[in-house]
Amino acid sequence: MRYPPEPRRTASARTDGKRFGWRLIRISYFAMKIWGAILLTLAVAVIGSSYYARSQGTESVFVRVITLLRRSVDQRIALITAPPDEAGLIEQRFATLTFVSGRVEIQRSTDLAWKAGQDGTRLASGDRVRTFASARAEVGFDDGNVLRIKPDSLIVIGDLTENVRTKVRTSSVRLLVSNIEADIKKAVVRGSQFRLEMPTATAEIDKARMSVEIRPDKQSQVSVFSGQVDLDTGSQRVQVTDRKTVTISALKQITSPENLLPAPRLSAPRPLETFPSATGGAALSCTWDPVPGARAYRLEIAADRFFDKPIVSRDDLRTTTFATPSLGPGVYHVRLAALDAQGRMGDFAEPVPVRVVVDREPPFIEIQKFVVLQTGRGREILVNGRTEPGATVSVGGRAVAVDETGYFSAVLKGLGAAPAEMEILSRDRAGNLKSLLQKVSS
Amino acid sequence: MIARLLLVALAALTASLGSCRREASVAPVEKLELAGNAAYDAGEFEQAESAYRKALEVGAQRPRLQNNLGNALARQGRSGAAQAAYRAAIALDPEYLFAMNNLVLALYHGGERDSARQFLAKAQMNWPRVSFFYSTDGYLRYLEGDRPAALAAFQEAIRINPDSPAALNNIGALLLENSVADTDPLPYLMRAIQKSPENVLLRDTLGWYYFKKGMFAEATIEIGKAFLYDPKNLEVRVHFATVLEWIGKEREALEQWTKVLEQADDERVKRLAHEHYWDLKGRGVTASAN
Repeated sequence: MRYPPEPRRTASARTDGKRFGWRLIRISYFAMKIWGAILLTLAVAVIGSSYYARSQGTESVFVRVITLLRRSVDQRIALITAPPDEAGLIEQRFATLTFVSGRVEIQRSTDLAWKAGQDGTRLASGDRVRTFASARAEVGFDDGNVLRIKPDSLIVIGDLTENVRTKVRTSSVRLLVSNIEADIKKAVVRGSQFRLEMPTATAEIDKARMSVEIRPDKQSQVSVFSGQVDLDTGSQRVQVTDRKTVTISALKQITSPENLLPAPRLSAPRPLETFPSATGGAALSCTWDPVPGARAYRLEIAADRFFDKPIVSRDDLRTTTFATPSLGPGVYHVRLAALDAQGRMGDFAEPVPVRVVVDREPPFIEIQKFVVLQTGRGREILVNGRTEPGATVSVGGRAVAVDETGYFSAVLKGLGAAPAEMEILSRDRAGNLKSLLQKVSS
Repeated sequence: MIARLLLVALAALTASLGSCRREASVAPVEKLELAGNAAYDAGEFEQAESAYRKALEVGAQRPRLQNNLGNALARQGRSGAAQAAYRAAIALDPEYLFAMNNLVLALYHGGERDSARQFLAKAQMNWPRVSFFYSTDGYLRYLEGDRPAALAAFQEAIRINPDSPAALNNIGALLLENSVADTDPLPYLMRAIQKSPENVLLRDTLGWYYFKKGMFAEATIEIGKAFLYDPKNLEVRVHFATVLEWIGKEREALEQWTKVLEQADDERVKRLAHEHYWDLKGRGVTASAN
């Protein structure tokens, strides 16, 4: 072990009055070794973290710390230097975490710690949202725009502002490794803008339903189901319109657009349809219009509108009808998409909400008039009364028209030798039956 | 829909009434005016009329009083008298825009459609930057069944004033009917709510949008709030009962449908209530004891 040469110090630098000795040097050298080891570990941690973060397509914690510090300084400088009236023109807006399933975490722009995200959590500019495996989240913006975040994603809320004078709103979201769906609606004020910032491109959206997948290799897949998206990589600008998908490489090359299939139109069930059931469950009969070029269809039915835990999930449907297994009482949401020859899924049709209700009560029958007439043409029966609206009625096996209020009236003619009693049968929509025997006497 | 499009008129009324409330003076005229406003807010339009007339008799020939009197008369269906009051208000203040807007509506509802149109066109020409004239234009066009023109007029109103709750609600309600254009009404409705969070009809329209989209939790919150603010509003009650059914609160829904059946005059509403009432009764749902 080599010792460093004795330092040159003046007497005044020595305040303790002790004589300089080798022992002191040995201790300080030991401390230096400790510090060296710490610094070395730190350096390894920084480099390792950076490599790991790069492989995951995210930012390392050290870059994040530096970004935070820089942002803080920038904000202070901006506050000091901005002209007072210009600074007052911009109003900050907010977004809200409208749905959370699984492990979803939020990191505030002013905080290093990640905290569990909850429904209703407000998000501001600079906040980050990350979803872990099997987790999902939905971010709702104050102008009705929606961002659905799929598992293993990380997004950063960017600009969320409104110009107080022009009312123009600017929103942006930075996507790191992410898989998202966006529903961007036409803004109220012309000039308002929604921007998605990807690692290799930005997407300017006026109005669109789209999905973006950013893979760890920084390749991005942008699919536009409806509307229009302007992609800009810095070297290339491409407009992607209805039902087109493109891939942006890590080298910022945009492939030529490929077609996506349109959303199929569900003809049954109808939106907000009610299925009464006497048995406690009902099978939904789903039918839809065929989509040219579709190899198969994907049908999902879930009790929640986010389709977080679908009860029915089939992507192998080759025909345009499907009968579900019996579904218990409750509200369900049905949605459908077409799959092309490459297995690429088109847009989901607007989810259709329906409900199954239990009805074990037989319908009532109230006979107001039951008259048997003997005419020249034989016996005739005049009958009228009321039953449950929506029920069907038959008198002596003959169907009788029932109006929407449940009132029915009929004259049954051509009755031969009428039996002593005639059955009046009412069947409600759930299939419950009510029978009434009416004496036939002229 | 028509009820919520009346927001155009209500916006004008509220604005003029709101300005009255700001006055803290307790002079007899002000007292009478405040009494009239209170009666108007409570739906007692005859009392409101009487209070405004007394205030005018005291000698205060104020355009605002004449306008408020016109509103009270219009709400009683006395279109001719309302027109006279609005004209008196305009005579006192030729730039009283609310009274002009209200006169257009009174003329239109009084059957003088051409006069209403001419007066509105003149007002739009003289004050091209006043958004509520375009809202009224849209409302009249909607009543005439010209929905694309109504949409264009509402859009112009929003272009002039992007924060006009009446225009935002009207365009939102129009788009909600899905009969005009493939544009989502949500941004309009959300913006309207942000600008006017206590407006019952806005909440109800937004809630109904959520309901149609299957967003039942959101629908319950918005329509529930609207119902809480204005339980007398039959349209809100109909929506509230429907939402209650869909979230499984069937007993409560039955109670609401029963009340709708008791209160409804409109045949269409009666039929709807009847259908829901019997659907619930037919499933064995009974109203709660209290």
